[in-house]
Amino acid sequence: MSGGGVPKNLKLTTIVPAFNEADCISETIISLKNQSRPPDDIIVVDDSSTDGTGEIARSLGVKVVRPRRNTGSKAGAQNFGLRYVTTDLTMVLDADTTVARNGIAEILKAFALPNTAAACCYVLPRRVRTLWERGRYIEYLYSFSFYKQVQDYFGKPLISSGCLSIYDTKRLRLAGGWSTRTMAEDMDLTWTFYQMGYKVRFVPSALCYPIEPYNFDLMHKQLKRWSAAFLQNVKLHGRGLLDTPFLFTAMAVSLTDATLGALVYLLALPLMAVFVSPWFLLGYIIDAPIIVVPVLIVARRRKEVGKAIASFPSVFILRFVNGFIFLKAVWFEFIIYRPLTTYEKGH
Amino acid sequence: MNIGVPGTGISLIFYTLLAVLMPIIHCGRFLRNRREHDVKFVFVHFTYAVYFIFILLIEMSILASSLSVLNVRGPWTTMMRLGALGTFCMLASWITLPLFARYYASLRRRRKGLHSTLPYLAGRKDVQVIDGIYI
Repeated sequence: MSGGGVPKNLKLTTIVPAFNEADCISETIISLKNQSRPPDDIIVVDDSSTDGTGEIARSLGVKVVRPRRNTGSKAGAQNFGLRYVTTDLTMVLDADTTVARNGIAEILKAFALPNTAAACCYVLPRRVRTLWERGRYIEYLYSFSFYKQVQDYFGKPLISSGCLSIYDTKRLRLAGGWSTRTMAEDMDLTWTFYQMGYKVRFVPSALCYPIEPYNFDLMHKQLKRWSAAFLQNVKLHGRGLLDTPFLFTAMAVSLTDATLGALVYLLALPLMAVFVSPWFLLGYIIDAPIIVVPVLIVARRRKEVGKAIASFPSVFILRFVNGFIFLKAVWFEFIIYRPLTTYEKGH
Repeated sequence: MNIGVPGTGISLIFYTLLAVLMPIIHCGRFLRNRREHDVKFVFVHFTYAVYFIFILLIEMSILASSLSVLNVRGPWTTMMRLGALGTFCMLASWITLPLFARYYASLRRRRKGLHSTLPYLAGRKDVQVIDGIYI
C-alpha cells in the first residue's frame, strides 16, 4: 500500500496490556522508545500481575495503570487503558511483541488515506527455534506475503492483528472499544469497522515480532482460542457481513476451507492411503511447491533462506495439529454449543 | 492456508483468482485516479498467481493420469468427482450469495426508504441507538 507521507499533527498513545509479562515487557517498551517516530504516550495496563510487571514498566519511565482486579481478557485490559487515552490515534501492542525501528512511522502513513479506522503490519516470530515456532514462521511468511496483501488490495484485510494495530481513537470509541463477546477482540473489531463503513489497512513495510508459542501446550491453547474465536465471529457477524460482499466471501471461503481441510487431513487422506494407495499420503504435502516460492522469495530478501528451508517441514505438522483443533472447535461452537469463554494466553 | 486454520486449497484458488484479476482492477483504478498500490505490487502478486495456476494444473494432470495406476475406480472416482463439483458449487455460491443479498437489501431499503441499518450492532449493551444511528 502506498500512502502519502506521515501525518505530522496526529498524536499517538500506545496501550500495552500485560499480565505477568516481567520476562519481556522491558524489551517491548525499549523497542517503542527506540522508534524513529516514538509514541507520544505509553500506557502499560498491568492487569493484576503478580510477577512485578508493573514495577519493571514504571522503572522504564512509562505510565502504568492497574485495574482493581484482573479484567479476564486482553480486550478488558485494553478497554481499561483506553479510558486514559487523549490522543487522535491509539496503538495496541502485546507485551511480548517488539516493533521494527521504523514500524510506527510506516503504519502512520496509512492514516493519510481517507476513512482509515485501523492499520496493521507484517508479523514475524521473534524466536524461531522449536518446531512450533518454525511452523508459525513459514505460515506467517506465506500468508503475509500473499493472502493478506491480496486482501489489502481489495480493501479488506480479514483481521487487523491484535499484537500490533493502530486505531483512530474516535472511531475506536464509536465502535464501542474492544468487545469481550468473542475470544478474538481484534477480528470482532475489524469486522465491526467494515460494517460501519470504515477502512482497515495492512502495511507490509512495517514489521513487528511477537514471541510465538514455543511448545505444544502453548500452541494448543492459542490455536484453540483462535479457532473458537473465528467461529464465534462467523456466528456473530455472518449475516451482517452480507453487506460487505468481499469480506463475506473471504470469511465463507476460510470457514469452508478450514472445515474441509481438517476433514481431508484427518479422515479422507488416511482412509484413501489405507484402502486405495499409500501414494495418497502425498496429499499432505501437495501444496509444498506453492508455499515454498513466496516463502523463499521473502526469506531471501530477509537473508533467512537457511532458516526458511530448515523450518519448511514444520508447517505441515502444524497444519495437521491445526486441523484437529479446528474440528474440535467446530464441534464445541457449532454442534454441541459449548462456546469457549475462558481467555488463555498463547504465551 | 490462512493463519491458524488449516486448508484444502479452496482459499488458494479464491485468492489466486483475485490476484489474476488485479491487473484489470488496477487499470480501472488508474483510470479513476484511485490508486493505492503501485504497479510492482500488482505485478508481483499476478506473477505468484500465474505460478500457482501452473503448479495446480500440473498437479491436477498428474493426479488425473495416475488415477488408474493408483487403482482408483468405481465409488472412489465418483466421490472425487462429486467432491470437486461440490467445491466448485460452494465457491460459486459464496461469491454470488453476498451480491444477491446486497441487491435485495438495497431493493428493500429503497422500498422502505431506509439507509444502512447495521443490524449486527443491535443488542450490544455498549452501543447506543439515537435516531436509528448506532453510536
